[in-house]
Amino acid sequence: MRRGVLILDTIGELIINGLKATATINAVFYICAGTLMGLIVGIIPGFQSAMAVAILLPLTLFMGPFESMVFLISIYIADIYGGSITATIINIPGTGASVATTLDGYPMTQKGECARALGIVFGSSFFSGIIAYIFMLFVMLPIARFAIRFGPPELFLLGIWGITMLSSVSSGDMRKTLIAGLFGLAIGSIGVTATGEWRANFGSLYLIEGVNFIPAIIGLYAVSEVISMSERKFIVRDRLPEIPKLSNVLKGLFEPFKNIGVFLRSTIIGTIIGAIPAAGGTIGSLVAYGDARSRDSKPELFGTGYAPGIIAPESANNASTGGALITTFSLGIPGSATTAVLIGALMIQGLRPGPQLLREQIGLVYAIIVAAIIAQIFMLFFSIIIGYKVVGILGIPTQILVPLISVFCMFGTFAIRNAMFDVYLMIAFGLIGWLMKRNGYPPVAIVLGIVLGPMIDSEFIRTITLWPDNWMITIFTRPISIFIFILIAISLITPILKKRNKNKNNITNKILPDIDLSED
Amino acid sequence: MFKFSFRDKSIVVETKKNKIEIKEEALILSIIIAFIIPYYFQIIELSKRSKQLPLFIVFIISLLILMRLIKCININKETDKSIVKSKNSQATKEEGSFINKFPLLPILGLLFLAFGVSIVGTYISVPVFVFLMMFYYGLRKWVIMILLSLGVTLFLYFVFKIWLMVPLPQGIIFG
Repeated sequence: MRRGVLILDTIGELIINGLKATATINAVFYICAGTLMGLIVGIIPGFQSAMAVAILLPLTLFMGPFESMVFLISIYIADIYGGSITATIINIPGTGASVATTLDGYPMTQKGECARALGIVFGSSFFSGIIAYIFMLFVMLPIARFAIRFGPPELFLLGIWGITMLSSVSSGDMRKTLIAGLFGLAIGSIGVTATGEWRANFGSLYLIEGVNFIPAIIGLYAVSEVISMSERKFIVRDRLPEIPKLSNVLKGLFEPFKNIGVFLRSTIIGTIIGAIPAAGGTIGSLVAYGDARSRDSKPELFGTGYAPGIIAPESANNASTGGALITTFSLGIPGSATTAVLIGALMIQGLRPGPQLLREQIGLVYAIIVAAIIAQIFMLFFSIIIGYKVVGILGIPTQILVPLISVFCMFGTFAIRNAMFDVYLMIAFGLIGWLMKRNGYPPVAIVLGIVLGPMIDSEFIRTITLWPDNWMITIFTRPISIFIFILIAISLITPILKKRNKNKNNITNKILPDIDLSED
Repeated sequence: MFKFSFRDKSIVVETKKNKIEIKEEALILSIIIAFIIPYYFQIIELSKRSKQLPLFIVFIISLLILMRLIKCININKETDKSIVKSKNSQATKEEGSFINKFPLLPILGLLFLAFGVSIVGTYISVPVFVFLMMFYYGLRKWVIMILLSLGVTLFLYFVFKIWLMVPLPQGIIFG
């Protein structure tokens, strides 16, 4: 008890020092600058936070370690806010972590509730970010210790768990969803294997590193959406839509609290999955969406503009940034390209992330986390302003939007590695995405396959390499593996049981509609 | 010998004896098959560890595609003419509401833009592309069209060249 009190006292002191460091004009300036840049980067399709963070890294030479990290982390987090704005308004996710938001965010916009959808997005991101980062302050080390125990079998099963979420994104024929998901897995397996072999690169040097998922996302969502847009006068309807009210945005901010279970579970899912190296916001948001749908009493409403369908992925994707920073700071392991650049930023300042950083610079780490919590307030403020302005896109005729978005998509894709090959890949995915949408194949299933394919494949190969004689026994006997396996079983069985119950109720209602079962 | 006609998302091929309806979905499945077949021949030469999972994927996806293809192709199935009529009348109503343009124009446009950028560079291809696309979609406000075409090009220059320091293609002619 005494030790616990002592630790709390120490953490309390660290938090207060962090607040003092953040309450300076310098810190506020860098938070605002980073937030605005991150929002702009997130809104434009094809732009990634990793790109912006890498390019602005040299600027941080002129900053102290605290200011540089606060600036770069603000870009990292605000990028997700920005990506979710376009995912909701025009069905074009700006980041992989916003793909799941399109499933219910855009349908809600199509119903004429764009302002409410944005409010839910901002509210979910803001409150989950606050909770995840506060959580970070107290449980950073235990989560880091838990995350490091994920070996190849656990990561393989985590990927499989992600794939079982296909059942949650399927609103029609499951076979179509499976075909799309397996197609995505096949595409994701292109590249260099864990054994060093070139696999299915079709003789192209551009495919040695595999298919980058950014051209795939831009093609499947942005380009296919541009094709669909060209058949309408305006984005949402055939006539000029009504201007959304700011009051509806503000009302939507507090909707996560009307679905508190979904919100809290998704925040925890996002934080934990974000903390696992190689997983990230994309996987976290899709898993949270699948979890929310499987537990909901009305799963058929998902995909129709249902509030929990926005709350779940948005809570998870922002919380995952907190989880990712836990492993970045405490273990020195980057979970994504952006966090790898953040490690570079720390090293430029003469600091080495990992256990050493926590031992020697714990004050700095806690100050950065406190600044990230304060930054959420600025993010919410700027998101509401910029998001509300971006809603004006709904009033711009598609005659103007189609060519402009096409140009941004092309050059955003080109900028990844200055290769026109990626642009042609994006165009091919655009055609495939458009055809798929017309015929009931969900593009999100392909994205899921492309994102998870490399992880599932490489961790499977590592597992059978490390345990060549008994890899199957190993997978199903490690404690964390057993836990993930139970989660997989639950996510597969729950929808089947619910469907069976629903059919049973329907049959009962048909047979016994008029019989009064009450006792006299 | 053969008579082709288009119905709602399907092609109907009529011969003397048979009427074959092929749904649009068969096109997607054909694209996936066109990828899976060379993919299979690429992975079959790999080591056992590297090809285990991809082979499993190929096997399952082939089965599923076969099941769907069977459903996509209908031979001599009687079509309900009343349904076809109502679908046609719905299409007419939709034509009046929507801008009924060639839907795949953005794809063709992007291909031409990519080609143009490789030949004459970004600063010529982009404004021409934007202007022509807006013109095709029926916009006739010349000032707005010119301003937007030039504005987008300037935006690309400042954001990519200046801010992100990403070199934009100059093309073969000016490169």
